[in-house]
Amino acid sequence: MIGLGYRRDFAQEFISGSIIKPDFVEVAPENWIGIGGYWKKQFNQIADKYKIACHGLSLSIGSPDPLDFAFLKNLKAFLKEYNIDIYSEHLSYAKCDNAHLYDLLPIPFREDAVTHIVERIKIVQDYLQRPFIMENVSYYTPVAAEMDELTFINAILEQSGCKLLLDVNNVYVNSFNHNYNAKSFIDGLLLDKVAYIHMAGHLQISDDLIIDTHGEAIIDPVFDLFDYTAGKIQPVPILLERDFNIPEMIELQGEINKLKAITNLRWSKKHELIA
Amino acid sequence: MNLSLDTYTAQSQLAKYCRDGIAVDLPGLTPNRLSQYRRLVFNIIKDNIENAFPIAYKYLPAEIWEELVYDFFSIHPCQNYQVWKLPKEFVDFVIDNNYAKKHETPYLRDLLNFEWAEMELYNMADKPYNYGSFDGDIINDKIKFNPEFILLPLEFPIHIYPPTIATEKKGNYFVLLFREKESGKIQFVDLSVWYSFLIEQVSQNDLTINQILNYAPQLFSNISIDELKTNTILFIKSMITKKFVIAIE
Repeated sequence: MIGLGYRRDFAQEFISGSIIKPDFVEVAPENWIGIGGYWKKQFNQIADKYKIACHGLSLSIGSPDPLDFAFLKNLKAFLKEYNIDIYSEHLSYAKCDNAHLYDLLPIPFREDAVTHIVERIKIVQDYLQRPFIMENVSYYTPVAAEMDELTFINAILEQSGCKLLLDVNNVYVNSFNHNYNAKSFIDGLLLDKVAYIHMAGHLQISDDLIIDTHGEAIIDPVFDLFDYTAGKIQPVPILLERDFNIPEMIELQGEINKLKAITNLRWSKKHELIA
Repeated sequence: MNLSLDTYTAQSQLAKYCRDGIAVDLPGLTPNRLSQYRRLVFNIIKDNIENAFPIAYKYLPAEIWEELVYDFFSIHPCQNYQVWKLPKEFVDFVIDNNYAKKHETPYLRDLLNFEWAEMELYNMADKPYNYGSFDGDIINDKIKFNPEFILLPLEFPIHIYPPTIATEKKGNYFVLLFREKESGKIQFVDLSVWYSFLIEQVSQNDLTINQILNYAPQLFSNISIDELKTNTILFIKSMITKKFVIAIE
């Protein structure tokens, strides 16, 4: 199954389904919890037509701040209302010292941070009564790190029992920005934990820095890395992210088709949208 | 919390840097990369606030606007996990810290409240309702309004004029904003003190027009009740047409 991130910019295209034909759509629950009026009607049409997956922004699993149970309560109700199986979040933090930052900050790769996050993932899983899926994020500099990214991610996966949302583009971006081999990184991950994949484009802004913008088409080396990854894992849902610089729908469908072609070659079995 | 003081401090300093842009020295950084976080985070805030207040952004001098946004994000700890609600925190911050007085922009409070009201109403959760019958008597029966509305009192008529002109027309103004059920669009109606009072009393106290008319002599001297009654009937009829009145029963 190949899904597409739902954007209000092309809501009508999703509803008509004349050009763009994703197998499911992904939304950020924070953008839809408690929304009414025109957009609620549009969203309900989307929910009638497509299976929905949720990818959160504000849980801030790596934050020093306490978990926000008021948010979790609303989230749980939202997941139930729309019969949503997949809920994933970012392995990062977006709130600190009681202030939201609305973006993904890098967590120090440290043992105490692992322990902290593992405990919080267990609490969230217990509260939401569903497996939790954590995404490897792009980062532009490590901060106060005492271990490498791979060790950090694997430790969290192993100790928390959560699943991995493997963002292949993020692996590519990080490998470029931090000068490591992307395929070796993939090889080192606990690949049996992969439950979901994200694919996206990025923007190279200097000789040694790529920003994870979700505003460009996926480049061939990222498709190659996806192909490499797909050869090593069981079938899982794939999500194409496009948040800015939205192209003609036919171009997005072209990317979906390309992802489908790769998965058809790599995976013979049909895969379902389940965590 | 399982975090060591070192880990917490690193996270806190990075977050603070993203908020105020004042350089920090953190261990293990790749040179020249930290600024990307400040840029990315602050752009989200800047874009969000600009998009929420297109009129204020257009009319305020750029340096004042930049100061408001910078102060807001660096001083105020943003509380809402939904970024679309952030503009409300901006409104409260600007009003509480009296930037209108500091920058001699008396219309600022009204303008920000007005622009936020439109956004809030457009996005807010549905308050389900159905249209009823209009068989009742406008004066003596209960009138029901579309519950998805905001009644906004203003000191300056920024809903009618550009801020520069509105500034010269200080007074008591009222604007009704309501969300159309079918389209979700926001309608604006400029109201007199009387109609504002009437909408408030009907919606909050469930009074009939006749009961509300009893208060008219206390509100207005030399008022003709008959004339007021006639005009009020016309007003309610116009609000039926606009689908703000949803039943008279």
